[in-house]
Amino acid sequence: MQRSRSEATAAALSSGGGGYASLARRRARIVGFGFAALFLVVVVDILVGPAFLNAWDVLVALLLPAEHSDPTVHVIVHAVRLPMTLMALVVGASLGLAGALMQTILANPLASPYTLGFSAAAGFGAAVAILTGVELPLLPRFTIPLAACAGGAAAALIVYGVSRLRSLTPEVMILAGIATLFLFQSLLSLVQYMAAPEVLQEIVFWLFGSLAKATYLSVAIAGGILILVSLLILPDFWKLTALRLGDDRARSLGVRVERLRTKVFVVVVLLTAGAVAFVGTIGFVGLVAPHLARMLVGEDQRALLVMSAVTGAFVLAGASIAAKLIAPGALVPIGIVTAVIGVPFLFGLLLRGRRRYW
Amino acid sequence: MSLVVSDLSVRRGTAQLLDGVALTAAPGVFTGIIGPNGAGKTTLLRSVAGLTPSEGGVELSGRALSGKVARFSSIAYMPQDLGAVSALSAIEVVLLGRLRSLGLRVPRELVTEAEAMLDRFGLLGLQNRTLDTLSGGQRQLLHLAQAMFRQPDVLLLDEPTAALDLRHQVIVLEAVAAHAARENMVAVAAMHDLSLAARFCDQLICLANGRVVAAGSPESVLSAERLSSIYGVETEIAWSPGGRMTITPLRAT
Repeated sequence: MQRSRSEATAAALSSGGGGYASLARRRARIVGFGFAALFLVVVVDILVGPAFLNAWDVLVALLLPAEHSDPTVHVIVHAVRLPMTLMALVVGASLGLAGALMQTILANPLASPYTLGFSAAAGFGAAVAILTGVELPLLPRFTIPLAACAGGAAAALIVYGVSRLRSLTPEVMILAGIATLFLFQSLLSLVQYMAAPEVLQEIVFWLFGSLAKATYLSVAIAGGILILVSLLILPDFWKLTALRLGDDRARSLGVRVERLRTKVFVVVVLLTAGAVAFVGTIGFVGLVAPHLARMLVGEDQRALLVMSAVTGAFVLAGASIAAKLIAPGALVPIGIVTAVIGVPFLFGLLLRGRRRYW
Repeated sequence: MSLVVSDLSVRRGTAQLLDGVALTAAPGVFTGIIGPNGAGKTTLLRSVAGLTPSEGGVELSGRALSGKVARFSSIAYMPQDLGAVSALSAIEVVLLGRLRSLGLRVPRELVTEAEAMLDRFGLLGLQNRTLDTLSGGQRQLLHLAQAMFRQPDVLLLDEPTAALDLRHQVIVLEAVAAHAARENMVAVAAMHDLSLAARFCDQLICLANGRVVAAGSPESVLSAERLSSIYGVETEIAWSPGGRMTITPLRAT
C-alpha cells in the first residue's frame, strides 16, 4: 500500500527530521526548562521573606559555612527559609504527581488528590487531634500529622472498599469518593461546631495550609515518600500511558487494569498523606499542575508525571513567594494563596484551549 | 496456527449470551462474523480475547489459550468504539502495541518499525498529531496499525468499518485481508455490512441468539432465505458479471 509514499518519506526519516525523535527531544527540552525555571523560583523563594534580609547576605549564609555570615541571618536562612522552601518543593511535587496519577487512573480532568475526600478526611483527623488535645506518648510533635494520615487512610479504605464491592471503575470510584468527601466535610464541620473558640482558631489555621510548620525532619519524611513512590511507579509509566486509550484497549494490550488502578490509588494516598500531614490542606496544586504539564509535554506519562511534579513544585514555590509579598513583613498561609492564584490560571487555560481532550 | 473455538458459552444472569459456539479460523483466512444486533458477535470476540469470562475452549494451533496472559500475548482485539480521546500522539498509539518492549527509553528500531507501520496506512505525516486532531477514520486506521504492530497470531475486530466512509472501509478491510495473507495471521471481524463481508471475507459465520446457525463461504451462507429468517429482511441477491455478490435489502418482513 502507498509504496511511492514510503519511498518519499524514507529519506526524510533516515535524515532524522520531524519524526518521533524530534518529539522526544522537544519534550526533553521542555522538561529541562521546567527544572531550570523551578531552580530560579526556589532561589527567589529563599531570598524573599518577612525578615527583609539583604539578598547577598542570604546567599552567603546559604552557600558558605556559618562563620562567614551574620548568625541571625544564618539561623533565619537555615532554620526557617530553607525548610519552608524545601517543603514547598516536596509538597508541590507530591501533589502535582498525585494529581496527574489521579487524572490518569480515573480518566477524569476534575480528579485531584482531593477529589476522593482524602484531604477532607485528613483535615478531620487533624481537627479531632487538636480538639481532644491527645498526644502520642513518644512522638508528641507527630500527633497531628499522624492523625491527619489516619483520617486520609480511613477515607481511602472507605472509597476502595465500596468500589471493590461494585467494580474498580472510574465512575464508581469517583462517586464513592465524592460521598466520602461530603461525609468527612460534615464530620469536620461537626468538630468545628463543638470546638471552643481558641481551639477552633487552631483548627482553622491548620486547615488553611501553611509551610511555616516545616522542619528538616518533616521535609525528609515527605521527601522520602515522594522518592519511594516515584521508584514504585517507574515500571508502570507505559501501562499508565496505555490506560489513556480506555480500559478495554489497555486490557487487551495486556495491562492488568484493576491491579494498576489499586497500586496507583495506594501511591496517591501515600503522596497526599505525606504532603497534607505536615502543611495542612493546600488545595488546587494537584488539579492545575497536571493540566499545565499536559499542555506542555502531552500524554506520554514518562514526561507527564515528571513534568507534573516539576510544575506542582513550581506553582507552590511561586505561591510561597506571593504569600510573602502580599503582606510584607507577614506570612499569609499558602493554602489561601494557591487557590487565589490558581483559579485565574485554570480559567485562562480553559478559555484558551482549543483542544478537544482534557 | 488455526484458531479453534469449541463449545464456548457465556451466561449473564439468566440470559444465555453465547450457547456452545464452535468455529475454526485458519491462518491467512479472513473470517467474518455476521448476525443481527444482540446475536452475540461482540460477546464472542470479547470472550475469545479473554475480556469476557466464558466457558469452553480456545485453542491456537492445538495449544489451549487458558489464561488471560496467553490470550493477550497472542490475540489483538479492536473494540468497536474509537477509544478515549487524549493528547497521545499517533506514533505513541502505535508504539503502545508493543507495550512489553517499551522502557524508559524507546528502542530506535522500534520507532523505525512503528513509522513503517504508520506509513503502510498513509498516516506517517500525522505521526506527531494528537488523537483529538484526527478524524474518526484516521483514528480507526491508527488503532488497526497498532493492532498489526503487535504482530498478533490472531486479530479480532469488532465492526472495524462502522465509523468509516466508503474509501476508509475499503482501505481497512483490504489491509486486514492483505496482512492476514502475508503474515499468516488469523483475522476475524464482526460485520454488519453484508456486501462488504461478501466482498472481503473468505468465510462467514452467522450467529443468531448466541448460536452458530451457518458457517462456510459467503456464497453458501448468504442466501435470501437465511437472511429473511435471521434478519427478518427480504433481500435481493445479485451477481455481477465479474462474479461479485451484492445484497440489496428490499423490505422488513
